[in-house]
Amino acid sequence: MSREAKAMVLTGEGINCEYETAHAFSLAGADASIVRLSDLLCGKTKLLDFDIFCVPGGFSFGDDLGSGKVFASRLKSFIERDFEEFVESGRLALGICNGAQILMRTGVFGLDRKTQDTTLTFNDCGHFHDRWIKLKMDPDSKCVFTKGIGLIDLPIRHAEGKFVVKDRETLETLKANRQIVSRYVDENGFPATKFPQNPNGSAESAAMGCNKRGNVLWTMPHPEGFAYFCQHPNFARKKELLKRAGKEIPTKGDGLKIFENAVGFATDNLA
Amino acid sequence: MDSFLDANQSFIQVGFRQASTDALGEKMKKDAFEDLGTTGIQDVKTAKMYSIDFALSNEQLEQVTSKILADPVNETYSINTQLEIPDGFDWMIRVGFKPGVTDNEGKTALLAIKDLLKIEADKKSKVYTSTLYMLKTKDMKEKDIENIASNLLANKLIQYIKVTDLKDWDKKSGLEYMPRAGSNDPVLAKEINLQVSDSQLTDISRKGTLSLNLKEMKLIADHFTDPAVFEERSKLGLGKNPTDVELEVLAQTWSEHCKHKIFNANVEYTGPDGKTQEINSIFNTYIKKSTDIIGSEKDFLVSVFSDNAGIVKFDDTYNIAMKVETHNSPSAKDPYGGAITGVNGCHRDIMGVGIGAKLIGTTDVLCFADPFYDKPLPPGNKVLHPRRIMKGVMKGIEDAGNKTGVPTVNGAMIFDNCFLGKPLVYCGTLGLISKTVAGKPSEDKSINVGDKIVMVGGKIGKDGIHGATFSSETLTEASPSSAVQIGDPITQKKAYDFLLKARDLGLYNAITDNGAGGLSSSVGEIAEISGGCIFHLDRAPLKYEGLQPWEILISESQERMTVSVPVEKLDEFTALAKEHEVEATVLGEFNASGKMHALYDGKTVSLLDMEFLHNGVPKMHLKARWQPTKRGEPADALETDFGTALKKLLSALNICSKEKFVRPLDHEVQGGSVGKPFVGVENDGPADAAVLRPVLDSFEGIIVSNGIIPQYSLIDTYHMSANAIDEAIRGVIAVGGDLDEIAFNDNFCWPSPLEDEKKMGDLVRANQALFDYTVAFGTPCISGKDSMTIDTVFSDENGNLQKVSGIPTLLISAMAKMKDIRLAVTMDAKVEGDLVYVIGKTKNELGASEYYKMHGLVGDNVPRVDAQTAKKLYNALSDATSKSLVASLHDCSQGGLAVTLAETAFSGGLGIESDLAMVPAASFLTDEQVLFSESAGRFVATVDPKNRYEFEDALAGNCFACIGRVVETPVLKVKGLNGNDAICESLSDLKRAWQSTLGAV
Repeated sequence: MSREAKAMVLTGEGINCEYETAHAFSLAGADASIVRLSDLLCGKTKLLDFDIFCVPGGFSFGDDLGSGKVFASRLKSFIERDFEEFVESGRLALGICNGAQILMRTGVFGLDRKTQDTTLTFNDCGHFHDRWIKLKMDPDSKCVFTKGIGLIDLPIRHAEGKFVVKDRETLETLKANRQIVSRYVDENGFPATKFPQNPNGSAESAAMGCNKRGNVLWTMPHPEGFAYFCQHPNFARKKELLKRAGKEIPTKGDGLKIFENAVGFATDNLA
Repeated sequence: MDSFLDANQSFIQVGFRQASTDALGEKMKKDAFEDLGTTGIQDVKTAKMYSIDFALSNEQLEQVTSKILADPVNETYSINTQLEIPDGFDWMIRVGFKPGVTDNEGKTALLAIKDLLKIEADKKSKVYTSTLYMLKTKDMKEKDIENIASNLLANKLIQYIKVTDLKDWDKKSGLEYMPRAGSNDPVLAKEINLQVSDSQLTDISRKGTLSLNLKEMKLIADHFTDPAVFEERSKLGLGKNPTDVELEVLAQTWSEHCKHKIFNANVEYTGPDGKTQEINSIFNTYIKKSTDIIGSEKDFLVSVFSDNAGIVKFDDTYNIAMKVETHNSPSAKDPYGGAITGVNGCHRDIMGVGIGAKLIGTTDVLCFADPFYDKPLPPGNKVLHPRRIMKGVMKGIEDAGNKTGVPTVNGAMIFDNCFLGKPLVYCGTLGLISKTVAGKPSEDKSINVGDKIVMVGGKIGKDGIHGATFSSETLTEASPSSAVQIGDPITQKKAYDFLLKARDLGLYNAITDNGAGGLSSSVGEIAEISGGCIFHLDRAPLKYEGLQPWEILISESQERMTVSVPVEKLDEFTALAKEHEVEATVLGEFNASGKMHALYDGKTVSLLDMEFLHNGVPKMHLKARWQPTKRGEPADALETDFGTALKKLLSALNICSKEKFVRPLDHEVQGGSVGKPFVGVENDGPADAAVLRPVLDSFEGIIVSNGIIPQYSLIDTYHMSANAIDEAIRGVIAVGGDLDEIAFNDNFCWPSPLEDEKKMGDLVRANQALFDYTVAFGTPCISGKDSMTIDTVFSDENGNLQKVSGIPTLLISAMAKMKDIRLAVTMDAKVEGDLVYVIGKTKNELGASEYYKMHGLVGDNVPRVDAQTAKKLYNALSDATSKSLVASLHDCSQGGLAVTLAETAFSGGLGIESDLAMVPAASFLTDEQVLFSESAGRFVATVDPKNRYEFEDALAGNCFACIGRVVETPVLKVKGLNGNDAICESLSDLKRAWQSTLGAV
């Protein structure tokens, strides 16, 4: 019998979604630990003791110098090798919002797996936004986290979430590799180009992306923000309609599936 | 020497690549158009400049820039040269900070540089940041550019601006900004001679921003000449006068801000009946007494009025704390900095309540003047335009909440031009705390003699000096700019993460925040527990050199907490702080000497009797008088076209959608958000209250709502107060809460009643209502705050002094436990065919209503709250919501029934057909009165026809009626009393009216 998948949820330096993110991993069946960046960097906690590595949302270093830059630089200068080995071994890494910005700046999504050739920059609207948006997952993506999810509502809460790619060629390669995992869509399910359905002006309406192998995911929307059904802004409305239709009111939110996918995969393949 | 050539300095600029969007530039262009009407800007490119004030080699600079400062995909940079200026760009604005002003980004840059290069930088190593705006303009003159710089991009009080015409551009001239702070003045404590004339005493107080009145100054002078006092002091080399340190400490501790002298004064009140009564402390007589009465029957009160915040029981494991603060004066001077320090300051109240609580939510209520104000502002450029204040405050709230990971769960925005001089910035925070922490009741603070005084968090600078005394003063043109400061949310977040861990390990005995009055207040207050303290000011970490001892002691530099650490835990405490990269400095220790003893370089600079310090302030004696003013009610109908009137009302500032300003606030972080600020089919309808779930393993939750209606003070503060209470309660009930679970924070913002019997009378009446209604509803106040000088004085064109004063305003913030948040109700109509009910009786109560305001009227018939009727109704409604009998429920407040019906309909995307004749109302009302009266205690509900009888049974014995149905056609139809359509408006028109004023998002 396999053991529980071990998930590390990183915190410190202004990360602030560690509590609910770790909670979502636990709900999904993982043995989740919240680990401070300093404990990871000084070797007190070892990355390679875990199956899943998650950098949650927040404002590491206040987004000073550009979101995620300082945190990513620390990760790289202290545990670059461990992180490389972690990813190479097929274990799972997940960066949510600020975590996405951080992971992207480590270069892990680069075509050579080291050099950053995509970025997340200031939203076209010029400011932070908290709103729920609609997403559509790419069913052909190799991404472990998003398997079996089609359309989903999730909250976005960021100021720097616009996906930008170095050049046309790189973008084409990313598309061919199915590395753009999820797109902001309009009410008809088509990729959204306009604000607020595409809340930041992302290229390709990209909201989530993965590395070529599909074991590392960046996501600007917060899946842990919809771990429970009652977190949906239309919870009361949906509840009333389900009740009248004689249907059961779910407890879990759709976002939890991303954590369940990760934990399921880790339990089957790694643990 | 040309700084450009100085080898110990370097300058790095980072901008966007030509092909990349410059979203910050685009935003600036948009703001310049929206806020200043500027049309001449064709293009803007922004860049960030880092001025590095220590030596780095070219290789090091290249490494730092390419690896951290500049993004490899969309950014470009230059080192020690000006970035390429695109063709056709003709102006450059540079905005940086004045010396000594917090530069968070500079601090982070220094850390990142040290990190990457693995170098140790000394104390004097600094990085300063500034922002460059390169502009391509058409027909814009230097003064237009200056206008953008000083009225949009920077606040000259704290920021540095340089405008350059790029025609005569010298590339080197851009690289010079190095705002070093600090002074070389000798650092010492001075004796202040108080053996002088009365007028000189008054002068000393005024010039020093001490805010001490003559009576207090004389009392202080006498205290120090007391032979017994002198004898003790002389042994430590002090004289018959206080030192500047002591005088400053007394001024802070005795300030209105800290001592609430007006609420504790003896008041002689003459009421409308002509009878005079003595009130010995408004606080004790009304607020505290009410809680004492209610508290004898409630089992959820844990700690009231005795700590930084009130604490109530949540469940078997946790308690909840709540506090609401104001930060009005600083927000008037620097809206961004004022708001950020207001919110983060209130967070520290919660971090310092009991043994320290976890921050779980913020609620902010803001009062501004009209953002579209188009009359001249008071002369002298001392009052900022209301739009600028509003935008700056919102940005401050955004950064303070978002960056510390505390959700801004809800709030309110009120607009009235009486707030032109000072906005009201109410910052409320909720905290969660285990009942017992490290084996002790978490609400207790204890200090043992010998415990170390440890300051944790930020460093001390000159910022925020005289915040406490300044806030207790009328704002004038001469008010000190050092009272303004910018917060640093990340330093606070790091200190907070560390302190929660230290708390759970039991590493400290007591904690409190450094807020108004700085160390003087924090150490001074908790030293009362042990009975004295001794500490060394020269040990405190400073942002820069040259602070005088008194400045160190009273500086309100943010992000600092003071804790008492037992000697045996000290090593563990400081080691943990180091691990978290948090500053923790031992300043001294607590003792039982009865003295607040402060030293600088081993020399005593303050030796104050704790008793005199805390209890020496003389009681004030104030007169109060109140008589109603009769204005009369309009004799005829004010409108005939109620559809148009409704749209106009929906677009009124106090009613319209605030979504554009709320979306930038993270209301969902921590994962507990259930009832969001905006609800409905398109997530854009106005929720009545927030519902949050602080513990994710449980479905128990907390409701947060606010009641505030300053307009009613124009008629009678008694009813203003009563309606604020009722509104806060209605918010709780509307989302499915229970009256029995409610606890309040009261927060008074008043124009100075010191030499104004009427305003003091207003205060007495508001408190009488607070007593009457909290007792009647059984809703106790657990904590409160007051800000008693919402006045601004300026000199007009003729040099005459003019005063702008806010109207008396009471904010009631309610929190209530909700047993199962899955039963939460929202305000949007949900299903076609549902029945529409109006609950509660409508009366002819349009006095000071939004409808009258729209017509320039005030009237007399201010809504009166019938607590007994309302209480019965609220309990019945809670019963109905707990049985899921209600599909939607919406509080009926400003704008009356018409607005409530419209909001219910357009938020649900479903029409409503209704009939005014069915509305439960007093006799002989007109259509206009039924539609727009603001009578208290009312709701609109929609109910599944299947639940009709059960719902009506639940409400039996109360005043309610079914007035119509939810329909699919997207139209709001209201049949008038004569059978004709009083209102027939499409939902899209109504919604557009509601959303367009402050801009659809």
